[in-house]
Amino acid sequence: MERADTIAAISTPHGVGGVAVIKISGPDSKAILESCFSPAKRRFPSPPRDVSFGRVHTADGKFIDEAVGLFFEGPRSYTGEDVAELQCHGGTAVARAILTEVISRGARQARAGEFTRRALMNGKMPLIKAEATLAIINARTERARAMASDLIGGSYEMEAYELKRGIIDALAKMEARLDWPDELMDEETAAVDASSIADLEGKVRGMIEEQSRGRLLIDGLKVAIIGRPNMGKSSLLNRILGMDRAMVSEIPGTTRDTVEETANIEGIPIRFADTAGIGSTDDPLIEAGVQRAKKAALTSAVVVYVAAFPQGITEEDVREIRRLEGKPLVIALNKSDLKGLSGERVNSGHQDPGIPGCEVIEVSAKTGSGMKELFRAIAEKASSIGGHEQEGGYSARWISCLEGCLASLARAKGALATKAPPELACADLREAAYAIGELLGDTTTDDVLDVIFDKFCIGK
Amino acid sequence: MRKGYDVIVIGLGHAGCEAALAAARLGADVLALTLRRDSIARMSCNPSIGGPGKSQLVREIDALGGEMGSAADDCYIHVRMLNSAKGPAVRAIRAQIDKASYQARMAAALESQPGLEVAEAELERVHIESGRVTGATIRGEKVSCRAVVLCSGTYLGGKTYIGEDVREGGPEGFPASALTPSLLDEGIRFMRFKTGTSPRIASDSIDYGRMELQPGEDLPYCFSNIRKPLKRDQEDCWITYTNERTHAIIGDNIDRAPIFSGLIKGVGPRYCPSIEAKVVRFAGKHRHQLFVEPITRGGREKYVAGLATSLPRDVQDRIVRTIPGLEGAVITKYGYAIEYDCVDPSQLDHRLGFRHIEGLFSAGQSNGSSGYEEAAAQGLVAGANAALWIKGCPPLLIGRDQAYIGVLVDDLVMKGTDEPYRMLTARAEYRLALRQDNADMRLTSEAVRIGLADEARKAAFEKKLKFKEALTSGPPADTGSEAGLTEEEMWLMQCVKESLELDGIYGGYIEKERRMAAAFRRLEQQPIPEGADYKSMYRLSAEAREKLFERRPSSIGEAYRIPGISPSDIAALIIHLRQEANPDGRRLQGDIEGRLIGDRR
Repeated sequence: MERADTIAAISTPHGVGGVAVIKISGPDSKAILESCFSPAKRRFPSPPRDVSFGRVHTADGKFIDEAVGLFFEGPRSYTGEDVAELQCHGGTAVARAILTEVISRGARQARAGEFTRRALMNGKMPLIKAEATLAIINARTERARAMASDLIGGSYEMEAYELKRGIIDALAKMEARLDWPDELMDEETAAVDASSIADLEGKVRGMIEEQSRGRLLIDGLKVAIIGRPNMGKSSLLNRILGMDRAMVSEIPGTTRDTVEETANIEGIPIRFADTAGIGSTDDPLIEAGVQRAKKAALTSAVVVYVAAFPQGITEEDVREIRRLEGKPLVIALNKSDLKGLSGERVNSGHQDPGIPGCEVIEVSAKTGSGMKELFRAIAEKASSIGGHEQEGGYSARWISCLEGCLASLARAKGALATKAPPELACADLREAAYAIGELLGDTTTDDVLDVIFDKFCIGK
Repeated sequence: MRKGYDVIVIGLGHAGCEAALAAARLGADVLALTLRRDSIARMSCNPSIGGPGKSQLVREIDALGGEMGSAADDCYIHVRMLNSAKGPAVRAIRAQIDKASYQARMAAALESQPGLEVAEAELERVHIESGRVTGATIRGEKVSCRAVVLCSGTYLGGKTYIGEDVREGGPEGFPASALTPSLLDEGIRFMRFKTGTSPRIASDSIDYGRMELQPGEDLPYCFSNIRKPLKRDQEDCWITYTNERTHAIIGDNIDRAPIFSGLIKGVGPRYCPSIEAKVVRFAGKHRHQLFVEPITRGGREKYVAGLATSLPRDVQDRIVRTIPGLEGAVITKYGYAIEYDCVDPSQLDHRLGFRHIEGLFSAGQSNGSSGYEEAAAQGLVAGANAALWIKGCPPLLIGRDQAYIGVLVDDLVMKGTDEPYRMLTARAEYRLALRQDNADMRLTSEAVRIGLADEARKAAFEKKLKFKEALTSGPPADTGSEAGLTEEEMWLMQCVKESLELDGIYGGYIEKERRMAAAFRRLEQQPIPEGADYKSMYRLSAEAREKLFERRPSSIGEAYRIPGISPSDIAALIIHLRQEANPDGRRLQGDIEGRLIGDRR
């Protein structure tokens, strides 16, 4: 029967660093290691696991780098298979060279997340942990990493187990009354009432919120910066990013294409799109850019609309803003350094866009004033969006399990309130417990298997 | 006794009686053995049948053509519907049975069954050659047979305890069976369990005025699916309680209690603990409920349910006298505990036959269950399957989604049990659908298929189906059709009406359960090919590979229920199977189809 092949990858992120790690997993790991690594130790590797300093070389003996070699005999390794590691000097070229060597000896470049996939399929870690591992790999901000670390550390898993226990406790009390109808029911064994189920509902809601927030931290959001020409949008983006990425010039319409860049706004990775100024224009090139800008606004989760002093928010601004109806919006009133300069009253020409819940933040890209306020407003708007509106990923699965649980708990509460036959509330509580079981991977239903197969591309 | 039979049934307790009758009714030539004729269908413990979980079992036994239901209907002296204020799925009939009439009634059924011979004898040894049953040694003589059904109850290696008094032997002083060693030789694994019983009290020494009366009820139906129970005068039950003084005496003498002194090693039932266990475990509880139950109509003795104990006799005397109404009680028979060997049921398949020994079946308390109803249900399944196997017919296999009997067998066989197993409604995932009132709708067709439904049952069921058709498709108040019906038919119609109403109460929940049951069926129907090579499935843990190799599950659903197999093992198993199927899909498809056809031949 066909065995798994041997995969390899550079485990450390690309770029300069002190150490790079090349990981190899699969039946040929040991052979590959022995063929390109000359250990200083005699008899390396000795089972079940071993480490040795040594030299990595090419097939024809040319020296590549000094490295530390490790070997873990399966199943007691990360993936459950034989695993070898080469820890060499960090530096893209060196790591690449070693990886190329390893691949030429019979390994295949690992796909994203493939080591974790193998760990999952070999029963080395439960589903929820595998998903958390992927989260930590994808964490781009410290907040995200901290949250993902929590997940790996198992706090989320523990919370889920606690919740499951709580549901089963409630269920057990109800079942006891059904199977022992004659027994005395004292205070200790008093019937589960609606308030204890409400407690459980609260816990589930908290977990959903946590997930949504976490989702945000990992995946981030797309935010479009739009506005009429020459409102200083690019300058504003530069200021946000802290570097001179977008083209800034006096001539309106300089940013022809959308520029995307990611910034860390209060721990949320936000992809900003700076777009060509919208508003009517005759230049066809600019017009194309304008269309792209409108599209960017549509596909973003939050829009920052930039108007500027001294004009303030004009009628045309208000029209454009109205077109964004329904979109979470922050209005940045740029060039606040020009406020009152023309001697006009601050409010002249300044229209009230009349959109509830939409903050107007006065900023100056030039001086940096108001930027913190702007960040806060953007982060708030981003957080208010439910994370589960984003497609795909493990969070969607978790949130869907939790929402299923919540619905079942609500039904159980309803059943108790309407004095329906108690076994119906029991059926609902069982469903709720089952949903948490699915979250934890305790129960392998077809759905969960499909997720595993889809997400982890097994069997291709 | 002749030289040869088709089936030999060891023991005529509740499992043995059903096994013997089922096998004989399916046309097998049956020899049923009992150590003493007067212990046939004896209720050694609580003289009652039914209760939550158990009532459903008895209605199902009846629907399948078993005897317990109609025997209980004939012999009850007190009956009540429990949980009547709760939903229909958890309502249960509980009946107090006249112990003596019940025994006589069952003995008569055995006597009058063609193809069934009852003998008072001990079976010393089962003969197994090349993994197949060939016969048995009875009274020193070799008797040949093709199948043996073991229903020895608590008799294997039985030891009775009252305080420090330990005796070899089964209940009521009967000798223990020495069958265990020869079965051990065949590689059969045993467990050691314990169960207990309460003292019996002289009826005229009880002060009923100090206890709470619980009268019987007139129920529209009892355990039979096809016959209305005869109305009768009922005996009363009485409720009383232990109190602090009772508990104090137990506490003071706890070191003399065999389960706490270490004398008894066997594991007792969690759901039916002795009074000393209750007092120790639920130390905060001020009182425990007791039921004073009639044993026979107008009988001299009453049974005190809830007071199971193996404390020394003198302690039992003192305990009893602290209980309201029993201050002057005279104990006619002391409570005792019995320790016994029982078969580890995980060695059995869903027919209740041993996987590694052809023709050997096992049923009842000797499989680690507790309760007459659980025993009888297993007896019916094992006896029927012994006969069906001999005839080369497809087996009687009941799924968890079909009946409580299915839950019982599946739990025992797939999960095993580490304490005496008692049926509870909580064990059934599809509780809303498995009600006592719809047992026949779920099972009669199975009974007809294998041949356990007699003409009367078939006829009654046909009528019920017609009524159901009329009631569900016709106009609601179809009073016209009620005109020409006999009293019996009216009763059947009423039963159907009630069932339909009860279905309605659950509404969408039943739908949901059905969908879950369908999902369950799908997993059950995802077959694992016969020659699945577990040892080569490198993704599975070593433990999982071992267990799968030993249990040889026939479907993913079954594999799932093996304890110690984790969901990631199942996922890995599916991956291996899918990968195996991919390269040569058609070949494997053929294997799978062949297997399915084989099972349904």
